[in-house]
Amino acid sequence: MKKVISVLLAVMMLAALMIPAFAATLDQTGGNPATGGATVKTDTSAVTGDGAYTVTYDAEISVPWNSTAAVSSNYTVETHLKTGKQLLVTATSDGIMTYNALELPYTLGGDTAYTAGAAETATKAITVTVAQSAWDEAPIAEYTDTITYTAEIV
Amino acid sequence: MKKVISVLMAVAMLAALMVPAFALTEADGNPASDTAEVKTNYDNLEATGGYYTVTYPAETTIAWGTVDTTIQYNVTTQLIPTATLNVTVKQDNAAMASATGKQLPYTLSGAGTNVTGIGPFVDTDYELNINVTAWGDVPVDSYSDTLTFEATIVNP
Repeated sequence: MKKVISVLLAVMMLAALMIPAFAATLDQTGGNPATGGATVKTDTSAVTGDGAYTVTYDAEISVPWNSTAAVSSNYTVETHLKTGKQLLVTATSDGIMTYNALELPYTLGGDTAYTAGAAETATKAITVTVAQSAWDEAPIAEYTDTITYTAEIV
Repeated sequence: MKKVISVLMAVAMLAALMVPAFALTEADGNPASDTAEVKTNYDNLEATGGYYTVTYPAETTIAWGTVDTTIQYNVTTQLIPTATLNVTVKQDNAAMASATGKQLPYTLSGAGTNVTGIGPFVDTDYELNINVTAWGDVPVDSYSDTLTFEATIVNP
């Protein structure tokens, strides 16, 4: 009885290990030489959603007082999306830095919108520019505003 | 040991220069959004204290016999929050002089001769008074002297 059980167990273990596959063959009837092809392909069943991406950007952009030069800040986009998908990245703001009730207007420019492909790495840059007239009208202080980065898979 | 210390210092210096970065990923939702901060800095003005302009008449003409003449000068400031401006105006000599060396005494007075603690963001006029009484003591001629304006940023 013990031998029967051990044989049955061995058969069950072998069955669990066997990977079902459709086999192709070559033999002498296929010519000399004989050739055949086997397909190798990817399996995306484990990829969740539409893929992955990372958008990395500076947490802070500092503008020197009285500078009218455009201050540049880079952001990096890296995508690993499913075929046909794109990543739309935007940077927006209301264009006004504030200190208490005081306002300092500025212009947000550069790559404020960028569409990345499904498999891409790119570095883009936004700019912050304050006009001389705006500097002249503002008491010196630390004015701040927020820039919102948004990333959407489309 | 020296090599280890120098490497550690280099790493620390690099870390001080690095701007912190944020990241958005697919795990943050779709769409995903977050914010960065844009801000002004006046580090470049810490040493000097900021900007100012003192605008004053390059020349003041007093009609012969006029006892009191009032003139104005303007001060505009754009200073860092901790700084103030002082302005003084002094007559170089006690008297205006003619080409022949004759002296016509005068006095300079008024609030504008010595102004201290002018604030960081002002646009203000100040007055000076020039008083001449000794007209009868000197020949009629062209007399002149210099008023010296001096402005100082006080930046604690």
